Amino acid sequence: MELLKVEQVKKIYTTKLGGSNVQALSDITFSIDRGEYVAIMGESGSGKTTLLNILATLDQPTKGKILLEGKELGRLSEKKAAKFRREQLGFVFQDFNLLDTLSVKDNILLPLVLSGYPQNEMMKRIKPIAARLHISDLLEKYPYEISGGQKQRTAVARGLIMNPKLILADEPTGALDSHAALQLLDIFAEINRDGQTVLMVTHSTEAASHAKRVLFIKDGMVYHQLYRGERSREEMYQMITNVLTAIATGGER
Amino acid sequence: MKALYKKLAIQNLTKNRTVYIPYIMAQTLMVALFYDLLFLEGNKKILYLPGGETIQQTLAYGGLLMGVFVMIFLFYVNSVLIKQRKKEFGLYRVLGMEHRHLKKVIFYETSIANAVSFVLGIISGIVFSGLMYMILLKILGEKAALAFGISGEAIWYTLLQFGFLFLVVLLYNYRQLKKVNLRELLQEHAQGDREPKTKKGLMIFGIICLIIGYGIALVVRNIFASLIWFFVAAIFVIIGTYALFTAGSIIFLKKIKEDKEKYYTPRYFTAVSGLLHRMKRNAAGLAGICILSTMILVTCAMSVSVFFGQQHAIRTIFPSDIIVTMSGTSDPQQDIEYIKGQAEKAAQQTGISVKEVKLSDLSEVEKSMTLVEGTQNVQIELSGSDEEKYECSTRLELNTEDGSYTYQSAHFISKQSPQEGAQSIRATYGGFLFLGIFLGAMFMVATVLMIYYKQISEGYEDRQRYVIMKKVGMNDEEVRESIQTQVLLVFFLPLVMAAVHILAALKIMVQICGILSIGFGTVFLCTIGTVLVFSLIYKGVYKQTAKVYYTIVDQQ
Ligand SMILES: Nc1ncnc2c1ncn2[C@@H]1O[C@H](COP(=O)(O)OP(=O)(O)OP(=O)(O)O)[C@@H](O)[C@H]1O
Ligand SMILES: [Mg+2]
Repeated sequence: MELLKVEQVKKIYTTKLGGSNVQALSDITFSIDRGEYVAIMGESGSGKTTLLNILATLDQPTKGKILLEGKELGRLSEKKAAKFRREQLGFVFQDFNLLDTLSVKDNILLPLVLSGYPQNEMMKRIKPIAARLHISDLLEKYPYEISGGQKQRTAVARGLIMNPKLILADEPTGALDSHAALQLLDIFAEINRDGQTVLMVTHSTEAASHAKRVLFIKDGMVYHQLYRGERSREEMYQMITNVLTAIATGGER
Repeated sequence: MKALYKKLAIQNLTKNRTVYIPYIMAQTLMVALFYDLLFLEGNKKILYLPGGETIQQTLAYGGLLMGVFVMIFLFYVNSVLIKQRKKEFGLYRVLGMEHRHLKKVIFYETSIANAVSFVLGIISGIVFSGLMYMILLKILGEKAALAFGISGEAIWYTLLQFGFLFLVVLLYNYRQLKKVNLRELLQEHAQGDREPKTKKGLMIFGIICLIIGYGIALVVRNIFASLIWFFVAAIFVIIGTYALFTAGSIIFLKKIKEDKEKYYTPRYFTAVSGLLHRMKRNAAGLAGICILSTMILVTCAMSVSVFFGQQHAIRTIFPSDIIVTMSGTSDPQQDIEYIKGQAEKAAQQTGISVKEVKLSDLSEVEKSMTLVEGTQNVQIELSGSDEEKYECSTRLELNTEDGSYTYQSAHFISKQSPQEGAQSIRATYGGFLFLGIFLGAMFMVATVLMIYYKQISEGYEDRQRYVIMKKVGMNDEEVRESIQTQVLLVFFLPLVMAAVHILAALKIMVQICGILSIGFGTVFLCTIGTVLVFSLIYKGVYKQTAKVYYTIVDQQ
């Protein structure tokens, strides 16, 4: 069943001074079904972060529509957008974006607090999620006392705690070493198996090969897409590499 | 090469203008105030005015006080600024600048900042000196004449004072430069402030200091000891305030944090956690704001009391139109008769009449100041205008021998009328009032500067946090609410504390004002009024600087 639909989205940045316009996205159309695990790849500057920000309602498209479960997000008021982000979306960022002043536990609880959940409900929710992400022992620590991998798992826990419809991740493995990255990808695969829809932007072929589908963006458009289907990870890895080479050499698809 | 350092120094100052412009402005103002004070203190015209000498003595005392305060305060502000820039210096070092090169850049930076504020300060000091002169004359009850004052001597002493400050600041900055440790610098960012520990001992120490300070302020009886005890009490209160803010604020915030129902709400969650983590560094600033506010309140409340109490004081010291003080009387009734006769003669010559002549006791203040035993006052009430009364008092003749008034058994020590006395009272009181305005203005500048720095440094610290929270789903309104909780806690705590301090100081203030014959009611009302007005100003300052804070936090 279709969860997210992106229709002919265009984004032009107008810089205040000088007035030069940058077209970050020219015409993006795709959709994501419930329970999918999609990776988005593309060269630096191709507009991946821009797309993710628009999906996250942190930014508005210049043109086009975005529908979540058939409802248009396009021009939500600032307040509604914040509520929407909090309740329907979970975020994982490259640089974790944890608050140094909050303990691991409180970082995870942040969205619940902002939504005004009662205290006992919060405590009920945090236990299983912490256990699943192997951070139960770290709950009382502060972000500066734990490793990068642990930080990212904390961020994932924060993303999951509201039971969001969609997890958006912008290069989640970007700041992790290969071991911690693999661990995180396993976690994404695991939560996806449990029915969580995941959309991940990545530069890493390794990371993308974990996904069920890979979208390639070039010059602000969807250039190509690959379905993993019944293929093994190694096969998927090879296919992604081929597409990336084609993009880099400017070859036809 | 030299040009390069200069250019770099100017670049650095412009780049850090959000902090340096207020610093230079504050220093400019202080130079101007200091110059004006010296100018008035050394002005010959004022010296030859009636009461001018008294005023200049008061101003000299104030100049000393101001000099000390200005040094401490500006030194402190500079140290805060330079510490904030450690990372920047580290970066220069990493980029390959040598220590001695950086030293030169710092030299130019410090020189430029100081020279600019000195020159601007002297210019505005000269411009304002005319105004100050006018105000002073007005307070003395003289005809106001506009006169601009350029005094080489005042400029020279100002230069000495601020030149010395410049040297101290420069040496301090060099030392800070030496302390830049590259390895630590590169790690520093990753290391957040840890949650501070609860310091129960410090809190108890602070409370004890406050109790001692308050105790002294409330117990002291002797009027002349008041001034000394005032300073002793002030020192205890200052130490107590620092300790209490450092330990108390952490304990207070931790209490909120332990109350889970309260803590896990949008209003408190981020605000309390954020405050708690930087309280270790913040407490000193808050205590400083509190102390400065208290100083403003005390100075202004006393000055205002002096201003409003002046007329009343003249009436208290001179309860009647002419007072004859005499001592060693064996037959007071006979003396009064004699005085009455003389007074009627004088009144007749002036064309008015004597209403009453009576014997009165000395007031408490007079008793404590009079050395001669058995001193008594005779009060004479007259009809007519102030001028006529004054004329009559000059006509009143009492027999004198050996320079003191004698008649039969009595020695007449003095003969005074309010019109005469008012002059010297105005000089004394005017001096206090003027100094109060001066010091109040200076403390105010200092407080505003401190609040401003707090807001911007916190703004930069909080920006990243609010960016993250917005991403996670906090809306603008919630951001504002959270900021408000935080800022309210931070900024109104010192104000409340300052109000408590001044309540404790009230008794001693009343006693000091008592020396000037200003009553409890006047001091009390003036203090309440001052606190209210100051709260309004404080709120205005907070609002203005909060805007700066929002802009910083809101920046994309
Ligand atoms: N706020 C902005 N204002 C103006 N131009 C912008 C802004 N943000 C991004 N751009 C431009 O839009 C284009 C796409 O940027 P975007 O950040 O989406 O790329 P990206 O695919 O995420 O790149 P990377 O892989 O390096 O993160 C770039 O040319 C960038 O310069
Ligand atoms: Mg990006």
